[in-house]
Amino acid sequence: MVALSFLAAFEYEGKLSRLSRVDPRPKLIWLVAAMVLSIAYSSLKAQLLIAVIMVLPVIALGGVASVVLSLLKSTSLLFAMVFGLNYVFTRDLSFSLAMGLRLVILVVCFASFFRSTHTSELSDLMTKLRIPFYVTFTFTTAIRFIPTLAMEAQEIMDAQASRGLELERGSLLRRLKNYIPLLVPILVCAIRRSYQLAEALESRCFGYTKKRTMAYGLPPMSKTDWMFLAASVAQSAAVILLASM
Amino acid sequence: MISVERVCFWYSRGATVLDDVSLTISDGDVVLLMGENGSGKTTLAKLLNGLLKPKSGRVVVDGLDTREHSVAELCRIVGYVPQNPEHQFFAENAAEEVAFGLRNLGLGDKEALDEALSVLRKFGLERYASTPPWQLSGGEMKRLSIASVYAMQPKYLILDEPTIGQDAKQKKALIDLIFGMKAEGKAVLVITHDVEWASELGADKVVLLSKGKVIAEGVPEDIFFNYTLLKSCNLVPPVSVDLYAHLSKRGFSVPRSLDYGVLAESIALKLGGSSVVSGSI
Ligand SMILES: Nc1ncnc2c1ncn2[C@@H]1O[C@H](COP(=O)(O)OP(=O)(O)OP(=O)(O)O)[C@@H](O)[C@H]1O
Ligand SMILES: [Mg+2]
Repeated sequence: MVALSFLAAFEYEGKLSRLSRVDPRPKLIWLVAAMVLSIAYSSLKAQLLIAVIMVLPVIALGGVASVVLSLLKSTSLLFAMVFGLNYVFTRDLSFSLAMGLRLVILVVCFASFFRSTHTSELSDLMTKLRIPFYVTFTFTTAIRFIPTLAMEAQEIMDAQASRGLELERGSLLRRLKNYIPLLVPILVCAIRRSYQLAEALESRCFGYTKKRTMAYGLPPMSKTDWMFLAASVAQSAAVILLASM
Repeated sequence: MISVERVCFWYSRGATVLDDVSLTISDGDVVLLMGENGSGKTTLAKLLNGLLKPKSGRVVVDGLDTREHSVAELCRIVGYVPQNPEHQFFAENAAEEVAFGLRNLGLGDKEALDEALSVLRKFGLERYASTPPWQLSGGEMKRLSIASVYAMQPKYLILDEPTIGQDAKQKKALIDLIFGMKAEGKAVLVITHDVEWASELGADKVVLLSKGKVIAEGVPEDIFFNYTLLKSCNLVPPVSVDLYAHLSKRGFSVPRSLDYGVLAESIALKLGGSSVVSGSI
């Protein structure tokens, strides 16, 4: 049925790749730089530069080429839609390709970042950025729950398939309607889960103290981390330079 | 007949969940599937209606290899009631919830709704016909979930932990329902941890699953009287078996039976009491 497997591309992989051993701070700077540049420039040339100079090396460092490929495959419909719609409205082939590529770059950058960064690193990072704890907690919990929700969605699809639901049957309207038996329980279960979680947290005194103690923060940046940071800055500069030539 | 032939299964990126499992469910059989948490019972159930496909080996349902047929085709023959009922509710009321599967089978609107109402009645849920499924109690939700699959009249019905949250009366009703299906020549596979209820069920066969392997298969009397087997599946024997063991240890020879009635009768006769027609108290 529906491919939920693409969510796995965003899941933490464990400390496997060289990328996952890089400190989250320089990685975040890289992510933001790549995103900002990709959004700032709309020419095909700039998008290609970003892809080659900033994204490919990180994919190599993360050893995630196969993951990226399967991610692109399972989301290809979305890219085709972005490209197609842009082309229909602008009749500008290179612009439409650039927009499609921009989406690819954003998705791949996010996947590389989240695959290689543990939620505890994320919350340390957010704490460093002086983001209030309840925001940090909400954010990291939401991320941690993605696999759980994906699994629940799978259970729901299984339950409805067992009662004879076929998504790809009937007219277009009929097909859209076929999704109701999936979407309603997915939403209701997610909402119920959030209430249950809130109750479970409160019954364990969450929010009792304003100031929380943290056992560990982020360790100091190592030489490789600084090198990664320097490389990100250099990559960004190269993209800006070459794109404006 | 459903036959599971040397099936191995694992989830992506995971360890082996089912290891060389073979099993047959003949028409008209009531089969109990028991095993410790995580032993692979739910996984095996999902293999039977094609939700999961075996990695090696075959699952054949009435001559259809599940690998070659879609769940939509197989669900007409094999009904599967999932462990967690909340995963399936979406309709505005209980009657619509039951009618959903019937419509998927091709029944007309009116027909499906009429049939749904009669099934609700059978499950003691008729007063909820126009209540949203989410407003039912835990046990009622579970029953509605069973009803919505039962209504499709599958030839094989798989119940994953059907007694969860059910009171004594409903547990008894469940046994009647299962035997009603058996009488129609249908087969039921029941997954449960509820040994007491299982020993009263009077199944044709008990299959014990442990760590993904079938460790025993036999009639209930043989399985439930085997302490070692039960222990390896984190189960404790039913009270009737315990009572039998205590009596035998004290030199009382009583018949080996899961039925209290039979035990009581034998003790009563030994003590000079009188015999009653077995069953009711
Ligand atoms: N969707 C899944 N992805 C990965 N692993 C899974 C998945 N579902 C189950 N498992 C694993 O497979 C094993 C068997 O699970 P299964 O649900 O079949 O057990 P069970 O016998 O039904 O247990 P219970 O008595 O608790 O219901 C478990 O170790 C579980 O962690
Ligand atoms: Mg289970």
